[in-house]
Amino acid sequence: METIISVSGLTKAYNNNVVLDNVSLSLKRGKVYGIIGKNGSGKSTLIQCVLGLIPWEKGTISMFGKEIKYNVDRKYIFSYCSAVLQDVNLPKKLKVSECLKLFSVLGEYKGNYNSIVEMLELKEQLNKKYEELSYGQKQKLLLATALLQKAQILFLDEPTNGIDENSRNQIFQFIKQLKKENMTIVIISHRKEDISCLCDEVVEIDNKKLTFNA
Amino acid sequence: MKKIIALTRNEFLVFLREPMAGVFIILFPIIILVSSGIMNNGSDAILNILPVSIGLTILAAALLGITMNLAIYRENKVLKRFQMTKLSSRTILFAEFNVLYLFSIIGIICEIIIAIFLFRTKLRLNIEFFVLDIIICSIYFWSMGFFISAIIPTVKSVHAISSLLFTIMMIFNITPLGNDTVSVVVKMVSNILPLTHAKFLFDADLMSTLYNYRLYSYVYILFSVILFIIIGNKFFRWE
Repeated sequence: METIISVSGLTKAYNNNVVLDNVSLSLKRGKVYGIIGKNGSGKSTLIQCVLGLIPWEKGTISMFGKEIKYNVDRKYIFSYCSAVLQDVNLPKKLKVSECLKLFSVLGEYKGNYNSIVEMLELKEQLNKKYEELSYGQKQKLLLATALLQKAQILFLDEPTNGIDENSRNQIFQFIKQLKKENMTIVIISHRKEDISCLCDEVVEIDNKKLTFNA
Repeated sequence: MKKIIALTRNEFLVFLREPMAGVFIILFPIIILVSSGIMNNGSDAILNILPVSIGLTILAAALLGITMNLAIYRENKVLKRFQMTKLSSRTILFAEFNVLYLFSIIGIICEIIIAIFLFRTKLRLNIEFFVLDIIICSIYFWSMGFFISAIIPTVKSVHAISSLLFTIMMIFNITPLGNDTVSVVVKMVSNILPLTHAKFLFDADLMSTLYNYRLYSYVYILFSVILFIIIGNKFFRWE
């Protein structure tokens, strides 16, 4: 299987406090990866480095054969990747349908987004403003906007945090569907039992290092 | 182009649904214009205040519109969502500019209508220069808004600094009107403020008078725009 992302010797620190120490990882096409670890272990930091959103101290990150640089290769990175990170939001006064239209233009999505809407059961919310949605509905909408980017790799940071069982199952079903379509998916969670049923490979961040689990 | 149109459309909808900023951009300068006209009894006072109120309209759109919107988007992590697309920061700013420019044009048209029909002010509008100066001043104030929102991190501090700058420029431009005893120091401070250059330009445009320092104002504005955009671009933060 083709390696699409390769992280080598990555070290990241916040104010001299090392969060990731000499971490290496490679991601292959069409696989679902889980990254687990305690709160504050550096899971989100790792993903944000891979996406070029934050700077890192040492190491290299390559994506589709190109070494990426912080703040320089954003357009390159997001032509291959899309992500749902924690705490991001959409303009609160925009309706769900307007958000979807906007991100289908921004993501240069050619198809019809109705299938995504139906799969994530957002149809009844189309005329609701973002601020009127519940947390779970917001998560689903953010996932929908990420999918409108037509990326090859999808990063999901704690996608099931704070959402009910029903929404969680819908998101998981959707991830399984994406896996069938040969999309590479990286899911972050602090609970292994939440994501292990979905993942081909699970890595754990513990004490600033990565350990691999089957 | 599609992305700019889509973003502009959405920003426009957001503005319509949260109209306070738009109302402020349009209404506040009109209140100053009308109250000044009434208090000073007539069209001469309007001729003095109209260039300032037009400048204030554009300034409010930039300082209290663009800067605040960007700061709120940053604090609410909306910019971070946009960061995870191929959008450039300039595209977002351009969409903001389009919407706020539209609001300021509506405000300016209202002010001219009020001056002509309510206060019977006779304007000798130099339309070419007037349109050109509206565009130049809009870009000038927009770049200043971009600069402030790029270098100042939080909504509270952006609000405080924008309001402070807006108030200072307003006071320095309104207080000396019709007052010949203003000190040299006040005039010197006033001359370096962005709103003052807008006032001088619009003053000449509205009455088709000669403004000897037009070129100087343009150079000053151009230099400031370049500086604001370079620094703003360098320090722009998505979160």
